Amino acid sequence: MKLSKSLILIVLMLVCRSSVADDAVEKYALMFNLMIKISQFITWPDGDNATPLKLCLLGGNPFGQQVLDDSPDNTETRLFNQIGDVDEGCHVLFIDQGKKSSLDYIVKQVSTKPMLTVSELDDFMEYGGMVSLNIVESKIKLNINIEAANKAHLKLDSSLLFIANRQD
Amino acid sequence: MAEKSDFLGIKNLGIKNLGIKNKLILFILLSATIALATIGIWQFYYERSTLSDRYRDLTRTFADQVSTNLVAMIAFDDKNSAQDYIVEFAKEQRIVSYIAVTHRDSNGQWQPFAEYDVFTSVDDEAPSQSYLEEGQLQALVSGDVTQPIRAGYSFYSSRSIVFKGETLGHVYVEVSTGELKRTLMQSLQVKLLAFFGGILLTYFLANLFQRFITRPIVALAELTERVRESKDYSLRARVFGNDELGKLAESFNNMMHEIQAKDIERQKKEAEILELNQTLESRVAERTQELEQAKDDAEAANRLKSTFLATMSHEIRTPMNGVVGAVELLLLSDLDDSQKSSANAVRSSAFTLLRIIDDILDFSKIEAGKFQIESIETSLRDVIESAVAALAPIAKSKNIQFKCFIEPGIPDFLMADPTRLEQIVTNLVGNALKFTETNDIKVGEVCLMANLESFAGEEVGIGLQVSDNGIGMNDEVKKRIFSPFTQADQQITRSFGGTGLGLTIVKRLTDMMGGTIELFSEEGQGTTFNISLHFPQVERELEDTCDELLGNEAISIGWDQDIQIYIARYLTFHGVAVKNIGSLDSLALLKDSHLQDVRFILLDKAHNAELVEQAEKMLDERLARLDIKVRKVVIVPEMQPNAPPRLVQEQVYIGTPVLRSALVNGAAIALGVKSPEVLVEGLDIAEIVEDEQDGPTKGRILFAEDNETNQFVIGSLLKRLGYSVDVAEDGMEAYHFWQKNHYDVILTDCHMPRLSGYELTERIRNEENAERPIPIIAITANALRGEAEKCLGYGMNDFIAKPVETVKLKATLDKWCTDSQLKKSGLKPKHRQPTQNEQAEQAETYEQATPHPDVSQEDKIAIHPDTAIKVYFDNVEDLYYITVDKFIAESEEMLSALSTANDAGDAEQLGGLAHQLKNTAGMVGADYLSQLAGEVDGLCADGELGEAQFHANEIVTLIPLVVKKLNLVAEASTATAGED
Repeated sequence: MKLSKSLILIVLMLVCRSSVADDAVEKYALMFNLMIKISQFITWPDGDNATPLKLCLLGGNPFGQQVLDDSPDNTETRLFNQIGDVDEGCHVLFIDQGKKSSLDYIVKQVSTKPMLTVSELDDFMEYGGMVSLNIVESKIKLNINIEAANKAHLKLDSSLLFIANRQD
Repeated sequence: MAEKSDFLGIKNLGIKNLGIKNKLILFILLSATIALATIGIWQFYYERSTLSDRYRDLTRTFADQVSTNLVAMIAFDDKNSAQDYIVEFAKEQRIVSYIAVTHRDSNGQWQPFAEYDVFTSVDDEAPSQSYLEEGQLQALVSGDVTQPIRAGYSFYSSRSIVFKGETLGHVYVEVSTGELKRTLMQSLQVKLLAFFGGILLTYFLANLFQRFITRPIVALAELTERVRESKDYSLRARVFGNDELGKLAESFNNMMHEIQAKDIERQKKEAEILELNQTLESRVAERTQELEQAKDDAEAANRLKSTFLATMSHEIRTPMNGVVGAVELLLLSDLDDSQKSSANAVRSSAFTLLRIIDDILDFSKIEAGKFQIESIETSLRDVIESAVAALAPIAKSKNIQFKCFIEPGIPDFLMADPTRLEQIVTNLVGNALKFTETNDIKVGEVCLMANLESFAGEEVGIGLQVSDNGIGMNDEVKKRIFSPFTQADQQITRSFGGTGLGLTIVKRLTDMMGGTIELFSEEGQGTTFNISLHFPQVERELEDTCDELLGNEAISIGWDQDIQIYIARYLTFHGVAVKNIGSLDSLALLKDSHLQDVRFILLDKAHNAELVEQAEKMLDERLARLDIKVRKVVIVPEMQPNAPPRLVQEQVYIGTPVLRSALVNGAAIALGVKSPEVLVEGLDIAEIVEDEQDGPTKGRILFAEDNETNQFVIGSLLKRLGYSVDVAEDGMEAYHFWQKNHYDVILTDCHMPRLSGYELTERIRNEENAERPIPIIAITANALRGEAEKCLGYGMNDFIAKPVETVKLKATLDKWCTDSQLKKSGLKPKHRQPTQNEQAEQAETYEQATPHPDVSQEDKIAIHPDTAIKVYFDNVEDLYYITVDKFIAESEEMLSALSTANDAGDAEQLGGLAHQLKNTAGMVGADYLSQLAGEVDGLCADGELGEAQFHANEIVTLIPLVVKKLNLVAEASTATAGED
């Protein structure tokens, strides 16, 4: 069955490992790791093997500095406030909740650029975002908009789909 | 074929005897079964193999798929999703029975991550029991899975889950074979269904289509059978197509065509053969008919010949009676020498002619196989002496020395056929005399000898030898001398005359008597015939005549050595001691003492008469000197050999050739123990007759004869012979004469009107004094076969055959007159046997056409009602007259039937009618007609159609006359009845 034209919402229900704590720090640390893992299942166009992975944060850093510091070696983390500032070379663009009001605009700006847009907002798909990632009650909620990814010439590993919420 | 087909074991299954239809179906089914089974099995295995491959591939695919899809889940350590995923996957794929997934735990150890077992997994939960134990987990991790984790499953596959070069975990997938098996089972079921369905379909189809093959074959087979049964070769097989069967049918038709053609040809040939057969048969029948016709013609011709001969014989003999009789009379009259000589020549010729006729008749009868050899008591001596007597005059006339010697030791009586024996002797001697002559060079000599060849038991072997020193014959002639009508050559025929039948008859007669004949001859030297015969002996008391001469001595003087020996042997046999004197010297040497005992002297004046007379003179002188008076027995050639010895002036004369009877009689007379019968001299008929005439009447004779010529001829002869004769017109008159007067002898014809010679004899024999029966001598020219016996059977004493020879008549009468006189002194006369000539005449006259030529016409149609009434009707006259009326009424029918049968020559018919007529004619008293019919009947039965026809002709002429006579008889009876 075909998904809706604009958006396929993939909800990934992940059971957190026992180490995943309820507290926000742990939650965002896990989310950060998940985001890195997800990016491993993504193939960027033009032979870009995403090494090192340029992880860009827009509108704030919910993960904390610590998390950023502890990020793996082949990962570069950058922070941006304005969409206009975002580097063209970013592989992943995490949009903070603070930018919720300008989501529509932001997504439109980068929609044709090879950037995996990720947000912790549940309705991110409706704005044309690619991945919505959240942890609720120790469970990972992962939605992937394949159409948006395809539009940005990003290829998703199929196995990723088996952990996402599929609506088909 | 059977061997070849037997490799399938068909023979053992009894398939060989199945019908071709069933065979065909069976073979098709067999083929279909094998084919379907092969295909099915192959297909099954192929399918299984394919399915297995597919399952194996699927297993690998499943492993691949699961390993790929589980990457993210293992990477995210999402156990729940992984578990959900494999359960969902397994359920989705259905055939997957087991899935196990491993991952590295936080410690880096390999642990089970997710597991699915179709049996134990409930919902999304992991199986209650994990199969991933230590060893298997290790095997899985090391990628060295060599056998299914769960035993019993065929398909399994394991994969490492690799993400970005890092092994995240392992996947192991097992696929259940249950589905595969189920699929295969289903496939198998379908295939089996298809197999059986196919076979069923094949069967129906085979059954349906076999007809195309079997129908023509079966049709052909049935047709063949039909052809065989009906033999209808026009039948043809229907050709169904151009295949082999069609060709077979065509070939069959071609074959049938050929057979039909051949059959038609054969039938045609058969028809031809049949036709040929029929033609042949008809031709054979035709030829047979022709042959039968030819045979009938030949037989008719033969009968005609017989008839002709018989007729000729009769026709010649009848006038010969007249000739002989008249000549005999002529000779009695006063004739001068030349006249007498002529008359004698006529007489001689007449008898020669009669003999020739005899020969021809005898030969004809021998040829016809009608000749019968009798076996009766016979005196061989009498037979030979009689023949010699008859032939002696010929020998004398030809101046031939004729000698005869019959061995005295031969029994007096033998069982033989005297007539034929005499015929043999007469023919042989006559032949010898004919071809022998006395001339300047030599004296002709014919010698007849009868020797006793053997005397064993009952059989007596007699050798007859007739030798001459005549012209003889060469070898060529010897070969054919016994063939009929053969003489040495034409020259001889001209010189000696004769029929040339004599020797043929001798040969045939000898053969018929079972004897042999041998011929020795050399041309110019002479001929000798030796005949060897065997006869049964007759037991008889010896007559004691030899006693008369016993113990006497005699001197025999003669210059012929042979004769001297014969005489000596004859006399010695009778007990006389004989001294032979063959020369004057030996006479001179004879001592007086010898002469003292001599009781009679024999002088053979037939040879060297002068010397004998000279010797006689010398002897007379000596006898006179010694005063011895003995009688002489002189053999003189002038006398007949069988003439009674004559005593003239103390000398007894006997004739030549010397016969024993004459010699012994002469000796007896010379010794004075027997009286001489003849005391006269003169040796010819006239002299004898004259002598007799001068004497007193020798006896009274009753002569019964209806024929005037015979009355005159024989009557005259009798008177001349010195008898007084009473002539009776017929038997009845003779009977009356006999009643009134006394006669010494009755001489009677056999067939006369009113009363025949037989009846006359019967009456006389019935009425006369049995002590002194009167001699009755039959005299007839019609001596039928067995006539002699018939005459004797009726009580007659003797008979004379016509033509009557004076000498024979005289001899017979002399005998019976003497007997008649002897009879008065109580002596019984001896019945004589018929002589050869007489029997020959009998036999010959049998052949004559008219059986009873001396029966007058009146006598032939005479009716004897009295006898008939007495004999056939027991004196009831009415019955006789009824029979007469019937006979008259049926006479015409009988006449026409007889004529028809006679003309047609139907022996059976003729015989039947004759037999009938014999009875009816006998009953009406037409005796002659009855007798004649009886003869015809007999002749028909004997197959003598010619003669039968001849007599039948007479019957045909007689019947109307008899009927006329019978009418008179009937009228007379009516008249008498009316008077009564």
